[in-house]
Formats: sequence, C-alpha cells, structure tokens
Amino acid sequence: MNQKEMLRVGKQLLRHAKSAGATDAVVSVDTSTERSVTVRDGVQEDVTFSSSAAFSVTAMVGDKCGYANSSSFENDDLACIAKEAVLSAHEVNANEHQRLARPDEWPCSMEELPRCLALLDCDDESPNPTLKELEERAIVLDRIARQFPGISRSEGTSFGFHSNVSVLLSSNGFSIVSPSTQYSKSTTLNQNRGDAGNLRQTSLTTIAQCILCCDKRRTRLSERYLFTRLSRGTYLS
Amino acid sequence: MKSTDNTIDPVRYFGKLLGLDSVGMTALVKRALKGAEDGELYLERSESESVSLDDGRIESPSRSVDQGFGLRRVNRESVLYAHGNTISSRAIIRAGKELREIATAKQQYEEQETFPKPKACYAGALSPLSLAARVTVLRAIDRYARRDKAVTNVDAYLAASLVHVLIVRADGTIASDVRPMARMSVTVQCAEGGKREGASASIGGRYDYLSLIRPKVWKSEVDRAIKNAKEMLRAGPCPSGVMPVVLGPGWAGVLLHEAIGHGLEADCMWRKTTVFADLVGKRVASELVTVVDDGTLTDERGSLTIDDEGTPTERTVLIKDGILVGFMHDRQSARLLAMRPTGSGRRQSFEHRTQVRMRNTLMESGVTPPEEIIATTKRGLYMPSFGGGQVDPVTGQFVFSCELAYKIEDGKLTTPVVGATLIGNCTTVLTFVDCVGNDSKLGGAGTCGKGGQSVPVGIGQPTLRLSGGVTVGGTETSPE
Repeated sequence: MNQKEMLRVGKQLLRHAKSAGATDAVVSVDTSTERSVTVRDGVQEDVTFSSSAAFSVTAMVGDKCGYANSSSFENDDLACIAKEAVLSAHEVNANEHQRLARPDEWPCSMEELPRCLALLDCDDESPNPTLKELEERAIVLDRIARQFPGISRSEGTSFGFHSNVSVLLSSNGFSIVSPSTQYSKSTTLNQNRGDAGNLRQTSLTTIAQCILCCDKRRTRLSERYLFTRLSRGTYLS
Repeated sequence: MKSTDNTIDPVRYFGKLLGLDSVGMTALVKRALKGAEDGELYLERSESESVSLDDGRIESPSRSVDQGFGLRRVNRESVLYAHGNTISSRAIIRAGKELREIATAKQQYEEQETFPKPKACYAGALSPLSLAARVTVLRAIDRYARRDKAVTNVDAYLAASLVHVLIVRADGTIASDVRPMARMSVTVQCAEGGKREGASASIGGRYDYLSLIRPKVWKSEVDRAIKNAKEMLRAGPCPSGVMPVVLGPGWAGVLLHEAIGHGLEADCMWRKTTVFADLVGKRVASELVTVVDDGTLTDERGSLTIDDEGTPTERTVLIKDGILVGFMHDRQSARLLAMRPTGSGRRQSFEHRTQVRMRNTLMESGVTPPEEIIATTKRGLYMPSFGGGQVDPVTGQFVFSCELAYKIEDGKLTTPVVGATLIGNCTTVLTFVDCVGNDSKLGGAGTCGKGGQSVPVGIGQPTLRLSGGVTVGGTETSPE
C-alpha cells in the first residue's frame, strides 16, 4: 500500500466515523516492513520477513472517546470498525479533557510540518538491508561474542531492520505522513562458570537494544562499538 | 462479533481472498516453499472484543479485526518465517521469494504421516452480544460485589474472540478450524480495620458469552474473590522452613505447568536446554503421579481441534506412574528427534512462528479424598493456589509465591497466612508426592508466555501432598 492509498483509506475512515455519529475522529493508517535474522552458534536459526498494514479509529462523541482497530482493509471492515469506535464512545464515561487539539494548538502549521518532521531525524534513507546482509552481520557478531573468555555458547544473535510509514489524519484537518526506520541487534550468551552442570544463561538483549535506541540517523551496525559497551556491563563480573 | 449464521467458512473465505480453490492453494504453497524440508501457509482472521468496568467506570471498550498469513519454511533446526496482513497470492509469492534467497540447503519436502479428521472439541461459533448488553452484565457484577460492606473497589472484565484458521501444506493437506474464546475476570478490594487487601478470580474457555453471563456462573467467581480478599485481611504471617505442603486442586497446578511442563516441551530437548533431556524412562515422580497434556478436552482454554501446523491434537502422557515417558512435539522437534508430532505446535497469531507449547496440562486424580489428605497431616501448610513463580531452566530451581495459604495444625486447616513462597527443584519435587486426591480439575483462565508469545492454556491438578523436597519461605519472625 503506497502513501497515496493510505491517505485515501484514512479519509474514507474519517467519513465513516462521521456518518456513524462521531463529532470528531482521528484515524491512523500504518504500514511496515521488517526483516530479522538470528543465528545460534554460527548456524542460521530464525529468519523473519514481514510486511503489514493496519489502521485504527479514535472516535469522539462530545467529550466521550471510543477506539477500534483492524488489519483487514476489506470495505465492510472499514465501515464496521469506524462504527464500533463510535459505539464504544457512547458507552464510556465522559472526559472533559479529552478532545482534539485545535489548529492554533498544533506545534506548527501544516505547511511547516514536513520541515519539522525532518528535524526529528527518524528516517534512514539508506537502502534496506536484505535478509542475506543481515545474516552476514549476525554471523560476524555471533563469532565475536563467542570469543569472549568464559562464553561457552550462543543462545542466539539477531540482526533486525524495521521500516514504517504512518499516516495520521484528524477530522479538523491535521494530516501527517511519517516514515521511520529502526535497526536492532541482540545476543544471548551462555557463560560457563567452570562447572558443567551450572551453566549461567545471561541475556544481553536489553543492553544492546538500549544502545540502538540512542543511535541517531543512518545508524551503522558497529559490532566493535556494541561489544565495547557490553563488556562494561555486569554479565562477566 | 459475527453471529453463528455468519461464521466464516475458512476455506471459502481465504480462497476468495487468494482467488484460488484448494488445488490452487496447494500449488501456491508448493511454489512458495520449493526446496524446503517442511513448512506451511497459515491463514488467520481474528475478531476480538473486550470491555472492563473499573470502579464504576467503563474503561477501554475495544474491538479489533486482524487477518493475515504466515509462511514458514523449515530446514532441520532452521526456521524461516514471513508474515503479512495482505492476503493475496502476490504477497505470498513475494514472501516465499524473500525466504528462498536465504534458505540453507535444498531439501525434499518430507511427507509425514496423515491423520484422520479430528473430532471438534468446541463449537466453532460465538453468539453475538452487544456492547450495551456486556456493559449491563459488568454493572450487575459491580452491584452484586458491593452488597458486601467490606468491598471498596471492583474491577470486572469481559472479553471474547473468534479466530478462523486455514493451514495449507505443500503435500496437499488442508486443515481448518474456527476457535471461540471467552473470558471473565473480577478483582475486588476489601477494607477492614484500616487494612486493605485485593483478590481476583477468573473463568474462561472455548465457548461463548452465554456460558459466562449466567448470574450463577459469575456470582460464584465474585464470591470466591471476596472470600479470598477477606481471608487475607485476617491472615497472619507465614511460618518458614521444611514442612509438609498440601497443594489445592485446580490452579495450584501452575507449579506443575511451570516447573515440569515447560521442561517437557521438546524444542528444549533438541536445544539441550531442559533438565529432563536425559531422564526419559527414568523416575521423576512418585508412583502416584501421572501427568498428561491434553488438547482434546471439551471447551477448555488450551483445547484445540488441530494445532497451528494442522496436526490433530491428542492426550499426550508425559509422566506415567512416576516415570518420564514422553515429551510434547511439534513437527520440527518430532522430525529432529525421530518422534511423532503430538499436536503441540502453537502460535499466538499469524505474526508468530509455531513453538512447542502446552495445551491443558494436568495431573490425574488419585484415590485419596482431599479431606483425608488434610486430616492425616499433623503440621504443615495448605496452598490452595499460586501467584507468580520463576524457574531456572538450566538448574531446575523454582520459587513460587502463594498469595493466601493456611496453616495445617493437628489435621485441620486453621489460620490463613500471607507471604508464603515455595522453593524447590523441578527434577525432584514430584518424587516427594505421598498423597494424591481424587479431585483433579482444571482451574482459572491461564495464559502462558514463552519466547515473546502468549497462548491460552489449561492448568490443573488434584489436591496433593509433598512430604518434603520443598522449603517454605515465610514472613513469621522468631521471638527475640
């Protein structure tokens, strides 16, 4: 689904929500592609490729707010989900603080939005890595990890890539198309403490993912950097 | 939710989206999985809805419709998985191409044994119930609970889903299933004498709302939650040390599920990450203990007519009279270990690959009446249920917490106690079972997590006594 099609679906959902009785509505249409490869002790174990699309509708009826979502873009489901969001809004308690931001409360005008989004620096325009490229990186990282003193085996080293396009529309004219990319890598290792019956399994996933979240535009997958950071962690202490 | 009349025929529905009949779907999968040893195309449409009442306020009523496909390509230990929610031949061919480019060795698609058409273990339908009607039930639960003056807060939750599944294999096997699920839970807070305690109760299974919204059903759950919360208000500290422990029937089987069951999922076997790997044919429990994992029980949460690889489920005996006799297998572990698949390949949704998972895991009934087990225990602790727990899969050490337990003194249940933990080792704990009650049952509404996936499961056991092998961690302090 391209961006033009996503915008068309978003506008259609807004119309459905309005005609079902919403006083205001916000719709989100998202598409994403993801690739990841996990190797374990140097051997390919898990490979994932996904391509998905989904939408959600937040409907407001006065100061009540309802929500529904779907990944089915069948025409019947578009209308049905918008209607369910409105029905949900009727059942919940009113919340006077829940309302759409007025145009004068937006952080910038619609004309300035593309420039502001670029400042958020969340889209990597470099070519998407293929599964084969991710696997090659995972094998290298897995090998480096297993060379650490005391590490007996790998429980899985993963490289992943995720790209996403989000379209957000509101009934009072807000409209945004936002692409983003994200890389991830992680490794889980077994550390042999000298006693064959007492292997200690230590997951380093969280540390690795934290580093990547901090990385900026055009993230490069630096194995050396990752392991410099990991060795400062607590798992070998 | 679609009515019974509107229930989708998975073959017709997905065939229409793909523009293919059964023969065409098989040809598509053959093309997408060319060179694979095993794998399948998994197609799913899931409709789910939930609503909760949080202290008188209706919170987050939600409804979602999700559909998509998962294409799995297996070569020995390697699993390549592609998924997407655009169900079209083009998308599936593209997914197959992505996976083929990184596939390891070219293999022959291995045909495995074919199974007779299984008997359905639930009705493949979910009667519709409007949001307004569900809200009315939640408000009735709230009013009923608040009749008790000690109750200060009530949270009630009602949810249901209907999942349509179609599995197409390259060998021409096509299997379909329509899976209903409904769940109700209630949490109450009670206050008395400046103290405040909360307790929950939940019920669910592969049936529709009508089985849950009968007042007789939800009232008993509300009564149970209130009783436990009030017992906790008057509970004292828990003694600690080595002592006989009697576990209650039903939900206390979560110890069995976590400490034993996960170690008998055969993906741990070929990865050599289970303490049970070398114990097949050996005694792992007392001769009173027989443990099964059964996917065929009528209407239970963990029941499945077919698993998510299309294999009919079965009653798998894991421990027979104390001897470890079997593991649970999906097709991959069965092939790697030269065993039969047991219908234990499950996934959370089309976005997830299958894993070896439990279905309804329970210990079979013994012969002793439960009251006799209590009466013949001079001093010990009765644990009717457990909260959370942790198991180290490498060493087998476990720790479980018990929200509410009771002292056993001179063969009688006496003071309720809070803050108990149970510590032991899963390879030996069942060898200390010296009494098994005749009251085995499944309890609660369990959801099991593994490798980032959650699936509904059944958990159960009879009343049983551990004469040793465990240590109770308590909260009682010794007098100075």
